[in-house]
Amino acid sequence: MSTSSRGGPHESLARDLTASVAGDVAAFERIYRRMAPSLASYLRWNGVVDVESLTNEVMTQIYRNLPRFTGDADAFRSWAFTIAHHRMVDDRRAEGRRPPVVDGDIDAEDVVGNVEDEAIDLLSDERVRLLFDGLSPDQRDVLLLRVVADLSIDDAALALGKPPGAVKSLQHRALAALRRQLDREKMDT
Amino acid sequence: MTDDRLHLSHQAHGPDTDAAEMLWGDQDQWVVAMLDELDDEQMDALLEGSTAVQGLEPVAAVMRRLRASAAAEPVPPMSAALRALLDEPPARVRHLSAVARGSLARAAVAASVAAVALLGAGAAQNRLPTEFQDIVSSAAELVGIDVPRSQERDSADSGGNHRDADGPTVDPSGAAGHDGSGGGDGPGDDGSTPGAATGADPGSPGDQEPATPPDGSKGRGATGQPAPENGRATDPVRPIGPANGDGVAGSNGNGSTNSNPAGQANGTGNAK
Repeated sequence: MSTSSRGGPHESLARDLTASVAGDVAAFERIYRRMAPSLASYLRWNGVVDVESLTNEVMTQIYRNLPRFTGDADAFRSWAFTIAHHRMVDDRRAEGRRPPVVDGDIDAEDVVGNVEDEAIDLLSDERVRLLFDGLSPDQRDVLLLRVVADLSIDDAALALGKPPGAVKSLQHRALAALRRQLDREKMDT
Repeated sequence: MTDDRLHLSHQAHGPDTDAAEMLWGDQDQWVVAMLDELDDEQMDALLEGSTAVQGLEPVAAVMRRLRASAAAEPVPPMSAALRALLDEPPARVRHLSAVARGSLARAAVAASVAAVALLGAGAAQNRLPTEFQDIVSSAAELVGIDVPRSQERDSADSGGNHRDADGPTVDPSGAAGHDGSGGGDGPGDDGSTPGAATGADPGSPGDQEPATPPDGSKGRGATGQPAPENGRATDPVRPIGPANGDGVAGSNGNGSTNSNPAGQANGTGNAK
């Protein structure tokens, strides 16, 4: 997605990936420490309850299939989050759980001050979660893959099994929906 | 559409009316249109939490918060199952070991088959060294395969007669199989002429059966024991089937098939 976040960590992941494919267990442990938190965050923002267990399932599947993986660090991240997304969808279906949708029903007390910058700086995780609950599942998946997973449009498209153009459209509509909800909050104050 | 108009519309119609949704939808389209005008770099910056586009700063703030939350996510503890999996030998090593073992096994089997084939071919042609020939012959007999013994090779080389595994020695000249001539060097040479002793016509052509000894013992009998050539007693070719030890003709009656160096004047000739 962004070249500014690449560099050291990206090259380090590439080295560990090569070593891990060759059978270096310590290298895979480093990959685990690097990937597991973002995978867990992605699952958590998607409403998964047992984040730790599902994250380990994802990493286990990654490890089992690692000998057959070919590609660079970006491809690996895309592949890892594709697995995580599929596991999340399966988990959601098994739980019969659908993320709650909040249609502009944000408590005015959550909004502090009238100054836009002050309100923004005091955003809490819970508030962001409420904002994201106002998105459609596809819109939420796209934003999380782009922001939390740090995937490009094309890699996010591969993970979701959608054309890049559709992913880009979903991204824009998701951002617009967030903008709309933020405006509603402001108006309710 | 300005914020004031949105506010008035919201108050007048409420958030759940179709009109309000249309207004909000119009605004969404306005934001979407604004976002469409951003290039990839500007869009990436927005998603990273930074924007210079007026009106999108609240969205950038949400992105910043989301990134901060993701960065603060702790490393989940590795499960015991995954830990155990890491402690196992790598799949590639296991796979390569299995492949190597399989290759070695296949090579060993192929080498064994080739060795057995060569051995069998050599044994069938009675070309193996004496010790090995006899060993292979004995082993083959256990499974009902008739393989000549080394002595038969020696006999064939010296007499030039055909060796019939199931019958007596056949003289290619058509004469009786027992000419009694020639001093036998082989074991059990009793110098007797089987045919003559029993009164059989030694010169009868095509006589391939040793004469029945006067004592009633069979010169050959059903055992298929071949008559010796040149008066020499030789080891018979054992018939296919159970081991024979029940009174082979020409023996001393105890079933021995060994040659009788002392010979027997009863003309069995095929005393063994």
